[in-house]
Amino acid sequence: MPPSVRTFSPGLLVGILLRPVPLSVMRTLARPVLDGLVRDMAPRLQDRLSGLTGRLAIVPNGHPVAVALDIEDGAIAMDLIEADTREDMGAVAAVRAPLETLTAMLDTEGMDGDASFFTRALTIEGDTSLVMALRYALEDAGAGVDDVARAFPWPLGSALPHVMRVGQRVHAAASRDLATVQDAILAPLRTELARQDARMSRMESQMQRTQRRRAS
Amino acid sequence: MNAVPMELVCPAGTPAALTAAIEAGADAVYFGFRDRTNARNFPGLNFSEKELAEGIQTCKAKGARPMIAINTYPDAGDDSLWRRNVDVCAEAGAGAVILCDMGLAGYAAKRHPDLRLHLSVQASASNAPSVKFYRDAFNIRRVVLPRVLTVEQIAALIRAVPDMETEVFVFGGLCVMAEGRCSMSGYATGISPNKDGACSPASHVRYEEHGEIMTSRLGNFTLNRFGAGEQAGYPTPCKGRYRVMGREMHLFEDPCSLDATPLLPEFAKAGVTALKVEGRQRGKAYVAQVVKTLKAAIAGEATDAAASRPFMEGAAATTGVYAGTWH
Repeated sequence: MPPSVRTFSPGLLVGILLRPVPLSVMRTLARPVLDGLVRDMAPRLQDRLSGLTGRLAIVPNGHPVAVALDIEDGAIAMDLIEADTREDMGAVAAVRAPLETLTAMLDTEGMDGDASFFTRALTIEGDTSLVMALRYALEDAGAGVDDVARAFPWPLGSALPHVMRVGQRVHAAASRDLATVQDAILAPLRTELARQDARMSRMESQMQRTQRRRAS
Repeated sequence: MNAVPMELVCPAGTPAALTAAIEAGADAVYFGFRDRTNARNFPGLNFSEKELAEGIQTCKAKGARPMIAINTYPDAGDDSLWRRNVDVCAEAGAGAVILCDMGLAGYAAKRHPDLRLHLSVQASASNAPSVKFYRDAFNIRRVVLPRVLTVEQIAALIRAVPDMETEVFVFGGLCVMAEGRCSMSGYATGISPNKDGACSPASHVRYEEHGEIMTSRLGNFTLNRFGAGEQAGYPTPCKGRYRVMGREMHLFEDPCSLDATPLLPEFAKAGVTALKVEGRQRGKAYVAQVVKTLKAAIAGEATDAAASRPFMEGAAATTGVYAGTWH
């Protein structure tokens, strides 16, 4: 499991549920959306990506697929690829984070890239320049859910904002439930850690008493 | 004590961040060109000439003062890019230009006598004779003070040069070195923060994950290894962790952010003109949150100190040297 998969979140659950779906099916379903996104976003990203070339993979933690952005001197192409090591994805840079973190970074009310990096919710591998440039380009382009909605074929696109609003409420409730589940799963481990901690404290006290006796 | 509220000067690395700063209540916004004249010269960041001119107009339309940072040192024998950018700012109607090089300050003062000049923190002017010199030689109207002074020292400097406006950093990343004179990142990468505008340039930064351990590298140097659950910091040499005389430590500075919000009344009492937020490399979420919180604090309203904490390096805050507890 990648190091940043630390929370049992709804986003992770979605990734696990997607695992049985063949990549070819997901690529076919995603193709019109990705093409629409490229048509809409490419002109808005081009200026800030100019002079940069290479594949950047965005990997939601625990998901079987990654979004590959192929940048060629500012022009972009997008595809779904199998989530793997950076080298095996043929990427010069990879960004990994929970789906929730990646989504929140597009929101002014959310977190910025530096803050997500400080908490280590987000990790960067490979060419940091490419990651930074894409981040600033996406932010300045105001990229967000609306862009994804526009890329969906009618009537899915027009329904997406409503689905997202409902999804946010479901997500909040599911996050609470999953946190409870995670808490329950980790309870025996916490008990064991507390036991070990108490044992260590006792041993340290014994050692100090022994040292004092020897000194006197 | 100030009769007028201190001006809040906010960062913008993109037009989107500029809009976020203004909407959050910034009194002034500072930004820069997409080239080596800018001390935040990072890939994908900053303003093209067209965006810069539009940014200046946006600020003016919304009642915020646009300040343009041309705060690196020109190449020996060729300062044409730096001079040109000063000319562009004057032409576009910038509210002020923030610069550090004496030659450029001389050029700007002579060529554009009506252009307001501020002295960048990169000039590292930290005493009264130095500040007086910049005032007398180049008609510098405001000095951005280096983060090496206590509040008492700032107050003394203001008393010694009362006609010079002062601007102090109150929030954001800390630079522990004498600004404009640090060569550590340049030594590690061959790219100078002071001449090329990039401390720890992204092209030379690499992160490696080994299980729960993350290693950060700059060029051929390992800067840090972050353990399981440990907050990460910027990949700059001054925030690195080194083994010194058998002890592993943050030799220069712990990864933490400046937050001098509790000292705002003392800054006002000292006569500080403006408060500055660091972070042109940060996103609009950071700009919006920090500006909103500081604006409320300046107005004397209750603020939620925890709201800005997630944006801090290491999720930790310090009042830096200002309170005299840290040097």
